[in-house]
Amino acid sequence: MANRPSLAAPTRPPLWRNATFLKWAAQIGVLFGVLALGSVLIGEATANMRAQGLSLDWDLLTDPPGIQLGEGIFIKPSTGLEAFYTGAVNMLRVALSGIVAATVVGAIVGIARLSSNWLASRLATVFVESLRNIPVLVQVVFWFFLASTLFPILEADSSGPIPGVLLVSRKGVSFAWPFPQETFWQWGAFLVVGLLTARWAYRTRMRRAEALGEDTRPGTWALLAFLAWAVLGWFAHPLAGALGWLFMLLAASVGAVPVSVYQVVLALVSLYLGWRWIHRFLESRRSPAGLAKLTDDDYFRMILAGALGAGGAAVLMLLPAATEVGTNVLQYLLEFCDQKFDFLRSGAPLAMGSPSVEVPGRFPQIAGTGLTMTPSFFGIWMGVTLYTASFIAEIVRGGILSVPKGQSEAGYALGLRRGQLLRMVILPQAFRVILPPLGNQYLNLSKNTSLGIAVAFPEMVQVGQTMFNQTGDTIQVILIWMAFYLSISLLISVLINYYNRRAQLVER
Amino acid sequence: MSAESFDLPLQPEPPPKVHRIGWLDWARKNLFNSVFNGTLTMVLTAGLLLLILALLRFVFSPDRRWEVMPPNAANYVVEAYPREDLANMWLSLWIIAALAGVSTASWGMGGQVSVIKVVAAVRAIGATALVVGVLSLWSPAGGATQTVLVWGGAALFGVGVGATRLVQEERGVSVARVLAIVGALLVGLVWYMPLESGTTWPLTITALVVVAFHWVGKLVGQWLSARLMKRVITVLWVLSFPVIYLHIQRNPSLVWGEVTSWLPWAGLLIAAGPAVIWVVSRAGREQAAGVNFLLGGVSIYSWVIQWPMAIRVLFLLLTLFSLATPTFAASPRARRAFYWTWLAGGLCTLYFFLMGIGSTDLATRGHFLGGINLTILLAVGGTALSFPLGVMLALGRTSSMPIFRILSIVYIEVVRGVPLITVLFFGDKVIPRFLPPGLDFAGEAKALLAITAFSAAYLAENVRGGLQAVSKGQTEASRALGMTTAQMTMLITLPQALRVVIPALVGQAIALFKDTSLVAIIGLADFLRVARDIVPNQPDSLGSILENLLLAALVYWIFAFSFSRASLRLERRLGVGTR
Repeated sequence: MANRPSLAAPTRPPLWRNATFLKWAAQIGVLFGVLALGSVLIGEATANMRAQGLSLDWDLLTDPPGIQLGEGIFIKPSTGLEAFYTGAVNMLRVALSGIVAATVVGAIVGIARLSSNWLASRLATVFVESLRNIPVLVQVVFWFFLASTLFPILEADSSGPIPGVLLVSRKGVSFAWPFPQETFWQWGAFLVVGLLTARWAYRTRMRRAEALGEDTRPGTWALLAFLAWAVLGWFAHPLAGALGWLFMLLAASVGAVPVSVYQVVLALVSLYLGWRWIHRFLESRRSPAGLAKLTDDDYFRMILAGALGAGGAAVLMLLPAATEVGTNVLQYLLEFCDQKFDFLRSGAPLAMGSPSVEVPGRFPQIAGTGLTMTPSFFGIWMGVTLYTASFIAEIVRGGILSVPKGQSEAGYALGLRRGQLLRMVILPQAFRVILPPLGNQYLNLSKNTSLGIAVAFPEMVQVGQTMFNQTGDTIQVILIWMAFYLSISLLISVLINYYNRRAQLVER
Repeated sequence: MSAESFDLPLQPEPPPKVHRIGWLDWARKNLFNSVFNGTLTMVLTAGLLLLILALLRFVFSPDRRWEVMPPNAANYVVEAYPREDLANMWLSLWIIAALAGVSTASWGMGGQVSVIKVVAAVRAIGATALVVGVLSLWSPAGGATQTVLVWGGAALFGVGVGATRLVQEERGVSVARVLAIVGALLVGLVWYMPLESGTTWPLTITALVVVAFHWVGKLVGQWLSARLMKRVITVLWVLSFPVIYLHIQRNPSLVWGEVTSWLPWAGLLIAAGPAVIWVVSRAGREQAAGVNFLLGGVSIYSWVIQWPMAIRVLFLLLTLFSLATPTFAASPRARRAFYWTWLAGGLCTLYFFLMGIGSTDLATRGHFLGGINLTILLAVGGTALSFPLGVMLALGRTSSMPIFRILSIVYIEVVRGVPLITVLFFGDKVIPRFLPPGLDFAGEAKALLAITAFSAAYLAENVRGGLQAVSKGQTEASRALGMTTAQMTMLITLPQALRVVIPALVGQAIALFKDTSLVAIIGLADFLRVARDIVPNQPDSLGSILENLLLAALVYWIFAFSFSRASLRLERRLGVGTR
């Protein structure tokens, strides 16, 4: 102890040898370079556009676009916003119906690949190996041209392969469909209550099964509870008209509160979120031995979180317009709901419509009585659905194969039947493996709907291209695309992550 | 071992009995083993028969015009490449063929394949052709195709059955021989098909080049180590693509007057490179820093006063090499390798500026890229260019430096969140907005940029997976050995990470290959656009769109399927996940 060398105070290295300084100098240098490049490019773009008589404004959303769309809510949109709204709704129609269909087809094919039936497993293999190795664009274009050149020509007396149910023609595929009527929303309120009741019934019966060890049939109970509410609602739906008052009241109260109150509340929430992040971060760095040494990266994260919280609060306080837009949208939604509920409405919530042909002028066309897929819709829908289904099939197969063999052996040893084994042992465990890549495939399918442009299907990209061909506002249109697709991606990721977190094993 | 403790009479085991199960037993076991499976089999068989009949009716319908394909073969491959300059295309093809031949000699062809399997394949092909031919007799159209199918199928089937009787024991036959026979048949087909005139001989030569260079590779391999041989061939493959696309196909006419002003200086710079590396590697820390500062200063200054572009780029390259010298040229052996790397890099840069950028009569000729040629350029070029960018993004995303991390995350997530077609439109419509008026890139170059930017984000995520799979002990050990961060990344972390993700990278390359078809939407004449728009709109082949789309599907399928099979083999050989 005595002859321990005295430690001189550590000399700080000179600035050009200081690793922390060099790291930050490099980072700030690169950030500055990126920002400088961006500003030069934007400056160049603005100058170029001014020379062509264009500018970086958002007039294209409010001006009449002078375009015509193939199908959708607004065939002849009166503003650019209406055109993009039509494109977005068309895209969502393809994406949602495609996701459902691709999941069903993919699950069937994936299970068939593992079937003990030689023919079924071979056909499933051929399905997967052929479809996933052909570019999805080729498939989309192929289905479109198949529908528009090889399907039967529509005649005034066409009734399709299944009269009254399915009509196939070169002008589209039309089929019978239960269309929601004006009382649908009132019935929908009952269905929501039914779902909640079913959930409650399932949990109660499940708890009972766990406590008593007997088969309490929770699934049947839940289904019956839901059906009971659905049947009740079918006849008693005018009762839900009372919800109309509730929505009216809510809409009025949202409008009655001054904007400044919302601003202050939201700003406080923003500040709180920033503070909470820093607090939790510090807690995570704390051990019984005290606070761990924080690196410069840690400090940066905390400063960034605080700055984001404070910045959000500042923006909210300084820009009342942002909050105002939010409250206006909320109020509009509540008023929209208010209009859907009324005591005086009567009639069935759903009405069956079947396909039919009309001859308005010289040429026959499909009437709006059934649900119709135009050749464009058919092409993009078949293309993305089958392509994605081939990937989903592989994911399902991989998921089932990932469950150890001991699990099914143990299940059989406990006396489970094959169906029970699949339902209670294999699928719940496979689901955990399947879910993350399945979410990725849903994302891919949604993005692939953008290929509708190749078959003149008016989704987001096709509408955008038509718009910038008219106005020349390419940069704005690309920004709108980015905002739209990034929101869709974010939404799907959030949903999948939510379910994924619930499905994962809780480990120690 | 334990068997020896028993007193068992030692006698040779009888050979195992071979159970030859009849097809009836087989069907009972695999198709009708339960009521459900039996029903399923019946339903599927009925559906399959209906589907096959519908397909045959489609294929053999008198409306189908399959005969338009052979005369358009050149359009599919090169689209509008000037026919009088077609020799350039043949030269490109022969270079690829020669490299392929040498590679088969060096890497082997997967060894042997069982004779029984080959015979079974012949039999199956013959039977399929026969069945299709017979079934198609019910279709309205007749003709030579059906005759060929029926008689050819019957002949193949007969040969197959006869060979099955002859070949009793398991014997191997080299894959090369089987492929040679298939290749000879294909060459025969080339002579039989009514292709565009003047293409039969060059195609035949291509096949001969493959065979000839296979033997050349074998000869050279006798007095060159296999390792060196493989390395040289890999380098030649890498170099072949820029040479083919920038030089042979572009066919630039070099104007010496334009390059004489900077060419001597560039040569001087390349020659001076090893000296700089030597000085920096021998000098102390402070002196090396001084040299680096000097080079960096000149490099920046050269951009300010706008020296010729080649000189600017070479100075930049020299600065980077000088900065990397302490890391990569520490030992005399490493330094020698570093000299060679510098010379190769410098000469490639010089070649690029002479041939790649040099004057060309491109402007008068319009676009010269199209068809499968363009598809391959976009796929190979996109993969190659996105690789360094993707690795950089992955390193940025896993970096401990927050601003690099945030920039990488924003880039990766934004690009992965939007569809490729919007990125292509960005490249096509917005990049010209950023450039000075009047300046624009070729559509092909913009598409390549967009595809590269898009693919890099996906590649970065794959590489990130590999980086996270490298165990922490590796980085700690390299720290303990006193490595710098750059050395650790380049010598320890990245090699291990990349090895793990090779299968994922091949999958990404296949996806990219399929995605190149999207450039048809922004108006480039890639293979899909030739098949969808260009050929079906020619007067001789008007309206043959479904046939052409099926051809496109088949060609894309063959490429993607064989790549994915090759990737599976590679995965098994690397043994990723099993080590």
